[in-house]
Amino acid sequence: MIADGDRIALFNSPTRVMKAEKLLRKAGLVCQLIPAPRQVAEGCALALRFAATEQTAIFNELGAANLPPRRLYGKHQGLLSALELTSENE
Amino acid sequence: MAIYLDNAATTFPKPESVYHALDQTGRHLAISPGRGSYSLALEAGRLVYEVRETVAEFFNIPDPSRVVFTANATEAINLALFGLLRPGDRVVSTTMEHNAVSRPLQVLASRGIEIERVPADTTGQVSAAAIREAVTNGGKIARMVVLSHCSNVTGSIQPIEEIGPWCRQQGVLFMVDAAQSAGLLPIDVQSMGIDLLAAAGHKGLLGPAGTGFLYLVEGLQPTPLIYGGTGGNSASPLMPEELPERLECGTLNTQALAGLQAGIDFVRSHGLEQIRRHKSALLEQLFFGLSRLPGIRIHGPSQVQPQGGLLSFSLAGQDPSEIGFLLDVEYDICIRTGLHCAPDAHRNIGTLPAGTLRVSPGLFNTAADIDALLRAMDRILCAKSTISA
Repeated sequence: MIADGDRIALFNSPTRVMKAEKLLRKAGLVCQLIPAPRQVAEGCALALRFAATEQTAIFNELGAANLPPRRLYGKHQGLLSALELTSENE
Repeated sequence: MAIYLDNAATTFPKPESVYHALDQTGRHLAISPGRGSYSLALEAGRLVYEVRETVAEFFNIPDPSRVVFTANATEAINLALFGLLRPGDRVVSTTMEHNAVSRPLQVLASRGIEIERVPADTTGQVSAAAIREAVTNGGKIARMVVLSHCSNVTGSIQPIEEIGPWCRQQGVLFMVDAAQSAGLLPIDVQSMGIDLLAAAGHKGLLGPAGTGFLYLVEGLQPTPLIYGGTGGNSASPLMPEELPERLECGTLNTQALAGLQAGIDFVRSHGLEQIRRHKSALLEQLFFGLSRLPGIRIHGPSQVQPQGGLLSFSLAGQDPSEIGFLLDVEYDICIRTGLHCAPDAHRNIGTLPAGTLRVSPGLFNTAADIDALLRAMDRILCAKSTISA
């Protein structure tokens, strides 16, 4: 579901994640809604998955719409870790 | 086929596109939206979000997540009033309100909330000046003004475009019950200074019964009326802070909301002006036709005043419910009689306890329908005068 190099963003509500997905797709950016993995969200939240290479463009788009994610994670060598909410992460 | 002239209660029939949306969504996408992450659930969630966007665009609401879906306008009104008002608050309303507003206010009055009802004139019209005076009356400024945009008894249109911006300047919450006006009159929550807008989806917006919504301006955070599952953050024992989920728990009716979307699309494609022109022409025909009949008294705005989509009248010495019964069983014509769930409004215009006969044509009614009603009224009155002679 999540490959190395992927980012997953969590939002404050199901409606906000739907709004984010629609906005990004309209802007031609590739992303997908997935169930948030248990390690990062309790309950039945949705997460937005995208490639790390798209992070800058996606954050710019979300920032312009005043729709920042609540949390961001990256997968590296099979492990998910929290990342800073910036448009770029190493 | 019956002639249906009770569109102020609910519009019937609906446009074909609404039936199509209900059928297609019911067959292929009647899935719980915002619950689960499989493709169909996501598709249903996307559909519901699109309906939210459509509602937001239609009323110039800047953020679709401030649109909370409800089962009807009554639920939306209750949600706002019970969720926001606290003991010690003062609320200004009017004597023209439907029970959807006046009953919650009556309960809130018993909980320490002060209610002031501004009287309308005999045509059902409330003046903006009287509202302003009531808001500042008694040294303590009111917390909220709540009123119906358009009376469901007289069709009177209240000057919300005048009241709202003034309330905004004064820091007073302004709530509009748009049950009778949404889909008939232009409503722009930003330019009209509306903080809370409650509307039915199944009247002028042409959606199915069981749809409605409440819009809340940014910053308002009512206590929920109902508590339960909201789809996200399920592990929390508390309701989420975010809208719309905070006020929208339990499974939404995806199918009905798809119907509402089709209804609003229909209204948008025809345009409010054309819709209003059509209904006004039928009401004018009715007004002049009734004026020629003996003993008829028409209640509400005069012909030179703006009016919503209905007309109320009474007959000297006659019980409206009996006339309504005769129209139904002998002529197959459906109109509404009695108090229309708005006893305060009838008290105001002097039609308690019998009420009135209310005619509310829809988009699909024609001049021939109004002619049929007028002919039936003429025959009923002739028969009654023969019997009494």
